[in-house]
Amino acid sequence: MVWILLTLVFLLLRVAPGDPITAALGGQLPPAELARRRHAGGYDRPIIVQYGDYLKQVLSGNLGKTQQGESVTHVVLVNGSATLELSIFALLFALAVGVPIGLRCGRRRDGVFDTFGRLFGIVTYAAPVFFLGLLFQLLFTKRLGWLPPSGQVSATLQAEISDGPHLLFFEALFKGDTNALSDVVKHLIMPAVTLGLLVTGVVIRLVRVNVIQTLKGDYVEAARARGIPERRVVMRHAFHNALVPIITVMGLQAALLLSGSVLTEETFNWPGIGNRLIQYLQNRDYLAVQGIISVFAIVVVVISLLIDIANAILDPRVRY
Amino acid sequence: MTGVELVEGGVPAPHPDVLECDELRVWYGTPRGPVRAVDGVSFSIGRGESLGLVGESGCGKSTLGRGIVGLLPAGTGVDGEVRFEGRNLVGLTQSELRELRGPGIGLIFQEPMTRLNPLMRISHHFAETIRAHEPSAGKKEIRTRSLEALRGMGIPPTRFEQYPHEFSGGMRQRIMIALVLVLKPALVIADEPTTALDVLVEAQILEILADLRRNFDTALLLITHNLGIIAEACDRVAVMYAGRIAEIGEARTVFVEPAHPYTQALLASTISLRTTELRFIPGAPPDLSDPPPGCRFHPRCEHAMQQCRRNEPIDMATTAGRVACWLHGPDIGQSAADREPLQREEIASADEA
Amino acid sequence: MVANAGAVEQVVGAPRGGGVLRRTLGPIRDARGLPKVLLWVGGLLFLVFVIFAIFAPLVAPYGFDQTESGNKQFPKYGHPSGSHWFGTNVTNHDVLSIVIYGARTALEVVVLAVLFSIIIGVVLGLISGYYGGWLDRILVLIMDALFAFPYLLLAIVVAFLLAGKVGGGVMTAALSITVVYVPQYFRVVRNSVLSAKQESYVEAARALGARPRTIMGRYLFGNVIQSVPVIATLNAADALLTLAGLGFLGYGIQPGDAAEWGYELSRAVTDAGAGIWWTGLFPGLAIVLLVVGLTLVGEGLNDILNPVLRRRFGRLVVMPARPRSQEVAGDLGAGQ
Repeated sequence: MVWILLTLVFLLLRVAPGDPITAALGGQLPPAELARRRHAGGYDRPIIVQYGDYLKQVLSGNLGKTQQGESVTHVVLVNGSATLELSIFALLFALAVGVPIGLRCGRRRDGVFDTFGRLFGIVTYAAPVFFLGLLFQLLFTKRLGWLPPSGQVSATLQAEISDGPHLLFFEALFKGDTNALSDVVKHLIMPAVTLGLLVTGVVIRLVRVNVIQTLKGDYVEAARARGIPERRVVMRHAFHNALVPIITVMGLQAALLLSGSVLTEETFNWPGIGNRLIQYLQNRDYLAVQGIISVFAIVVVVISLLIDIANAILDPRVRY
Repeated sequence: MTGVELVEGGVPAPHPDVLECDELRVWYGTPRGPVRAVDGVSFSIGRGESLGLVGESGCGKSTLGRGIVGLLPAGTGVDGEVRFEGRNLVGLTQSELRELRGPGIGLIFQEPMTRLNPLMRISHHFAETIRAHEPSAGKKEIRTRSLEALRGMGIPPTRFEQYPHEFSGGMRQRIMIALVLVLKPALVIADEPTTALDVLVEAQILEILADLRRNFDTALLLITHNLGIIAEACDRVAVMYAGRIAEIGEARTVFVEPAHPYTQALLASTISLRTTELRFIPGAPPDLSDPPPGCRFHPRCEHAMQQCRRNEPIDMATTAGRVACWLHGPDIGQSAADREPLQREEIASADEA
Repeated sequence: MVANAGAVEQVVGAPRGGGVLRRTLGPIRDARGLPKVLLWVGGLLFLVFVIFAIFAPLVAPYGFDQTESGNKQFPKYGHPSGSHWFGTNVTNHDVLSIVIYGARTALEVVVLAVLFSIIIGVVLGLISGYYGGWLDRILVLIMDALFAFPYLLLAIVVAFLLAGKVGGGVMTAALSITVVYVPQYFRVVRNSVLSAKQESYVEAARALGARPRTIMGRYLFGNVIQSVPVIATLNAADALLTLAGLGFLGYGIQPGDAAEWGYELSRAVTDAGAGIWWTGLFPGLAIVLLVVGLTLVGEGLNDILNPVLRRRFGRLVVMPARPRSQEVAGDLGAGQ
């Protein structure tokens, strides 16, 4: 699977722009210089050879260098950790809000709560991340002045952070540095909630449909016939059994989260990998783009694997 | 122990009837109007007695079983009385009914393959069931009782921690029965317990059910479309058609001297080694949202009279029990014209209903 | 003994194409209560935007790239006022007109994209599911890979590659979005075909010598087409968001070609810093309302058509009083 994705990435980025050098600097350099650089970068070799090289490099962790000379791997680690932090909290928010709402909707189908819950889920999914972000910024920064509009930490604290991958929230937590912690949290709230709301919509819909479906199960009726309290029937029989399909689909939403984070980072100027990707695309730094998207592909596959493992744990039938 | 009556001397005497249905009606609400699945059913079951409820598919017998314990979709209309050990169940709240389900009335379902939670071990099923009604039961006690119930069904203790998918259909049904019996209910309602199983397993299950009375003094309501099963396992039989009871009485007598034309037709259509030709009942069971007027069986009955189309038959006593059919009287009130046979073409047109 | 292909007509049990419409409209008419309300509200919202799209020149007060009217220049960042209900933006354009014309762009792109996706996805799904073998395996692999990829990145990459090549931002955007959604239709159709292939009527048709094209067209298609309306509506909603995302990041439609809500929002981000809210609020609301409308229609359809979610019972039954009292000759005591 990884192989397919990587091949896809390679092909996509070679097909139209040609090789990275020409695409980036095509109109800007004299042809002789172009040819020289292409040769230096090995882009005039047969495509198959380049492809082999690419695979070898990715597998050994070498993702090349950006136009500025930074190691792409380094960029991925540093900015990737920022994106990771954002994604974790967005996901936590989505689960904390979405699961109870979805559960309640599934239980009392077509009731008042169900209607509003569903509507809430639909609207939060429909509102583009950047629109919500905009509204939040208008409200909380402009009107109320409570929260900073962008960035991951204030400039003063930024200076104190060393180079390299960081999960700032957890670091501040463990160090017990309340000052830093509050700063990080203030910067984290809006982006995390914005992205989280997007996923919340999906979670609500997912949980609701799957709980409705499991509640129709024969074993649920049988449990009720044994006099099992309704609460336990819903949690242990319906919801627990719905987790398998829910988690599977949630795993597929990893792609959604990545896409959404690109937009969120752009809106809040969050120093994540999505932000960088947009920059590189604009600068036509295809090598960097290739490197980052390759990483995305690998991440998606890894998450798939984790989902499979989780399913095996939850469902004993899968193991045999 | 609900509905216990005090007798002189302060010694509580258990109510003579475990279950008494009085004009029970269960109507489902659908977009096209109510479906009268159960439309005026009355019968009783004594302590330790077994009653078989037989009828074609769609006659309402499953609804009856579920209706007794209140396992019906929201909005379903229920009317009449269902007295369990003297206490009327109609109108009780779901949580009151929940307390009765299990230790009072147990329900055995048709498809054992899907009735156990595939993600839960058998031991958890038992623990959950027992704790739901006896929260103070200890782990050891739960285990002992569960294993004992399973042993009675022929399931070895070594398989106690396994998952449902590791058992065959027949074994799962036996596990279901054990789950029901572990709470020692006074009444067990078995809804087509052997329909989904092969004949050999069916025989085992029937023996277990027949033993219920002997070993546990449990009353049994056995719902099925198979007459043979009832002959094997039941004291009395009730024949149900289109939401009503056509005939009810002692099983042996009803099978030898069926009073209702429907019962006669059912018996005639069963196949045995002596069968030389296939006999069937013409027509199809009626649409329960719009049943035929008068006696519901009249469109398919070869003895139908004018009377049958106009008025619902009155229950009359028979040697076995009682029957609802105009053929059996009462003589008062029926004119000669009423007793005229229904014309064939009238029956034919009713056939298409 | 050579079977006549016409004999295939007689195979019993197969769903017919015409029945699909009946099967779809029937339950919709029967539905009551909330699902129907949702359906109507969504439909209404959708209709409003369709009107905007089709009649844009008539409804909008100005052109989307108009900067003056009758010798008077439009203000820059003009507040919402009588002559500009939604105000003006940084390039002196009327926001209301942008919103209305944006509906046209949005629907053009989305309709094209969904149409392409359906055609390509359904055809490929049918072929892949029916023929199986190595073709199927390759297609599945490719589709799975496309499906797993973050949709926005995929769209961006494709938009990039197509930039300027297919002429017109609308086509570029439409094709980029098509690539993202083809796998979904492919999957659903392929699954339908695989399960329908097992059905006896297909086996019977084959035994009678029907050509693959006939089988696919007459039998499998009808079966498969049932799930498409719901997916298509929900897809359209998604596609709109993808388009907006593309526009926000600056890919797809170029500002001169057509009005696009996402693009407007990208400029509104900087406006927010200065406290200018109307350049972002209105285009954003347009996106939300149209997507919500489409989603409501899709979810409403799903509620009604999907057998898993459909409610068979649930109407409250009011029972009339007992019709008669029993006159029983004989005792009904215990043990009878």
